[in-house]
Amino acid sequence: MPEAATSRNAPPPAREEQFNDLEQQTEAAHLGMWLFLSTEILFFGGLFGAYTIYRVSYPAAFAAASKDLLMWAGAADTAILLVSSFAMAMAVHAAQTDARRALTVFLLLAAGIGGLFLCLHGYEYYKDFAEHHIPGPSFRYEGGKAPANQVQLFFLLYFLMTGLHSLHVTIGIVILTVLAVQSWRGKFSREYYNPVEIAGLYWHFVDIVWVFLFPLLYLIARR
Amino acid sequence: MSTQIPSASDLAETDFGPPPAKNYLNEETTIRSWLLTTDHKRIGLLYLFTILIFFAIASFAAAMMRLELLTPAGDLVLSQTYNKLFTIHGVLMVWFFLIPSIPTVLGNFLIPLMIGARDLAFPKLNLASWYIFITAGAFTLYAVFAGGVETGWTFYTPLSTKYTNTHVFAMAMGVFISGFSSILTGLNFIVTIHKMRAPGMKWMRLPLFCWSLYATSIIMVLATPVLAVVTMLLAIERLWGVGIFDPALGGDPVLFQHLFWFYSHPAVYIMILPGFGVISELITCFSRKRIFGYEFIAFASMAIAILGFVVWGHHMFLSSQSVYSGMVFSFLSFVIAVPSAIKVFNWTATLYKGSITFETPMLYALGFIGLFTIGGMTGLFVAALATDVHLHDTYFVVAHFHYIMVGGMVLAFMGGLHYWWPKITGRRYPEPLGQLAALVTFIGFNLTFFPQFILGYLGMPRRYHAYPPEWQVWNVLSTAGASILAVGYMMPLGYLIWSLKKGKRAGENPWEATGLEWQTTSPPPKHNFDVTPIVTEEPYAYPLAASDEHLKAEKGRRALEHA
Amino acid sequence: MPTEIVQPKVYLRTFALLLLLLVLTVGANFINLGPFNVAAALTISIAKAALIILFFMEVRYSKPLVWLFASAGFIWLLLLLIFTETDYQTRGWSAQNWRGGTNGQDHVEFNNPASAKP
Repeated sequence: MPEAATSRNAPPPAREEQFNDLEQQTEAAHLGMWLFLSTEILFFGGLFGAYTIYRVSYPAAFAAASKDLLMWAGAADTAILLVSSFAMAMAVHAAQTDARRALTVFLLLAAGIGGLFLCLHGYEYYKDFAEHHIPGPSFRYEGGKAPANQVQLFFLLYFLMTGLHSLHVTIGIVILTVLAVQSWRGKFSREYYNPVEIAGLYWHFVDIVWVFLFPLLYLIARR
Repeated sequence: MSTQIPSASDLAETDFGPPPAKNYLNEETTIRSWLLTTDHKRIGLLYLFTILIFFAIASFAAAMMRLELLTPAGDLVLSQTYNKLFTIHGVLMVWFFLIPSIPTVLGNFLIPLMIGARDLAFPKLNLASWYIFITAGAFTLYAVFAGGVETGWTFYTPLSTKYTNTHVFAMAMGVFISGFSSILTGLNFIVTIHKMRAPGMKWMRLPLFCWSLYATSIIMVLATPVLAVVTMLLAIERLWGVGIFDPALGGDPVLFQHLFWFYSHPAVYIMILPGFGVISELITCFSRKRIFGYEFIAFASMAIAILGFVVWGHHMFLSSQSVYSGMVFSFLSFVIAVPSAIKVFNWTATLYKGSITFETPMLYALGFIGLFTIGGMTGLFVAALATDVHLHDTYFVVAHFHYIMVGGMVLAFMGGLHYWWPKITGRRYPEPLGQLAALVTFIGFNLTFFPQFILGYLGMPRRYHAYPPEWQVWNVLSTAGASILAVGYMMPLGYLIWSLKKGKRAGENPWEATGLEWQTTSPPPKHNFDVTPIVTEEPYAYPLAASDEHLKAEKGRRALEHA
Repeated sequence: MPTEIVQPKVYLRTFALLLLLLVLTVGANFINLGPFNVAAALTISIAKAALIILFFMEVRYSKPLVWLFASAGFIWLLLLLIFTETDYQTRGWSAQNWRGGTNGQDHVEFNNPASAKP
């Protein structure tokens, strides 16, 4: 198998000097990533907290505002991210089985599909912009079903939450692309694929955030 | 065999030989080698240098305030300047001195040494967190020198978002960025303590200093992101005028307080838990006795870290927060006093029948126990719903939290710095001067802040630059105390710098202390240990045992030998 | 860090389940369940997140420590949400709250007894 040959040619795995062995290094990086993700949960959590308070306070305005979002785009966003997450999981598997070419392809696939998500979301932002739904002095709401202030609060939270999420997607795409290049150059092997794995954790986390954002933002009002 | 238990003071006069030829300080000496170092010990010193600068600026602001309050009339500074002074004092002391103080200086230096590791788990991240800290400091100092901020360190809305025209944005960004430094430090510590312990260093053999920093790190990792969000929201509302906290636009200013205190109350424990850790080390060493109730102290740290997250509402009793919510928060605030009291009882029980000597670190530690107890007990006054109505936003609160922050954390920091100074520099500070400084600090501190309890009880509100003349006596006392306290702070600055060149050589273990950090050279080599140590016993195997049976046996043995 | 290599078919099944749940959550939005619409949407989201965490993120195959670290963030988020919401839900019980009514008249009296005197 060609994959096995690349493994023999791969450079010896890099152990940093503060660790005793590679296993310790891998486990430390893994735990570190999980801790970072718990920080991220609380980081988004502050916004989820604000969202909960205002949604409970202004249920009608939130429902009315939510109707102005493109539900099908939101559903497509979710599907896109799920596909990307699946590709990422397969990338980790490819790394574990020393399939270097598959690893590169899956990493690029995950990053590319992430790019697709950004494009679709960019289109949604464009539509919101055209409809004057960007909070601030130019904000306008003509629905008339709810006070404009409360609708503006919804859109503010919508932009903050999805904006922060898109920022995370962008960072993820950059990381995955770098890893794909490194994988192409033969940096990873069955013994050493730690960066792929912890980048995977990050990428799945970004997916999880969206899994909650989708129903909370797009599905408030029954259609 | 000698019946004399070796005491630390016997060793104080000994001048040990020269330090190892190669250690972390002299391995490389270029500026570049310091600025790009990934050595946890050097990063600890970088932090020490940085936070002392912030401490100096914040202390200057405090001095100006105390000078203003010397007379009842607002005659030294304008009321707005006074507002800026207490904001500078609060922001710099909280985020740029107290929160990083023990964790980033002593924690960075000691955790790998104490657990027998070559470095933290992520040395580059550690350096990155220092640079993030510097960036945050730059934003904050810009805000200070460009004209200051008048909101107080709490940045309450709508004052901060709508009504003030000062540099709130820059300062909020400074706080926002400093949070990431804190998160990375906490993350690094947790992973290090989990994964980098030397063979045989089981959890129940972990020094209590490491336990307390583990608990602190949990708070850093899980609370700080919420501060980041809330300062971000504040900045967005200020820049775009969108009303997330503006009642006129449908927002709720109390939500700001909820999110702010969700971080900032646990942050109070970031500011005291590391102090607990230092005191646990000092008390047991200078009593020559095993710590009493090791497990209780360790788990009390964890309990405080977790309970500390669910008491934040006690800052908001008078903010239109629901009374029922207030009752829950009040109850939980009383509950969290229990683990804190457990620690105090354990320390005093450790002192009991110990062979106590009064070196400088021990003086600071004993001061800590007394002052922390007063600070903690007065905390219950303000945690009770009814009394808080009278005491809220008065000098009683100011005195209460200064007893914890200064009487607790600063004394612990000074005690720890003196205790590990020989390890850090390889030199000893002059002991009599150190003892004198500890005493001066203790007296100055009490004279500064005890009158403030009385002022607060009489009803003097915080954050005003003028007050009715009948309160002048107490304010004069407080200002006099502050000047004594300043002397107490200046003295160590002088003799510690002096000791860098002229102090006696310390040797590996000047205090005859247990703990892995004392088994390597002073200063330690670049990778801490030439051979990875193997741990075979409990952390505090001092000559005097804790249990009664051991004491009786020891007594009997000594009586026999005497006869 | 997982203790075993997860097979692709596990990933594939997880992925299929996730897509199914996505269809469910969109579908539930068209049915009137009253207040249970929110509950349904959140339950499905939690199920989706659990699938991702357990299988894609391989927590199912990891040591207990990873389970602890993975759940800590969510538990703390719940603390934030529950304790904040407790305040908002019980404000109306006594004094008039900030959302209407007499604009916190009770609080003014509560803070400053002198103002209540004629």
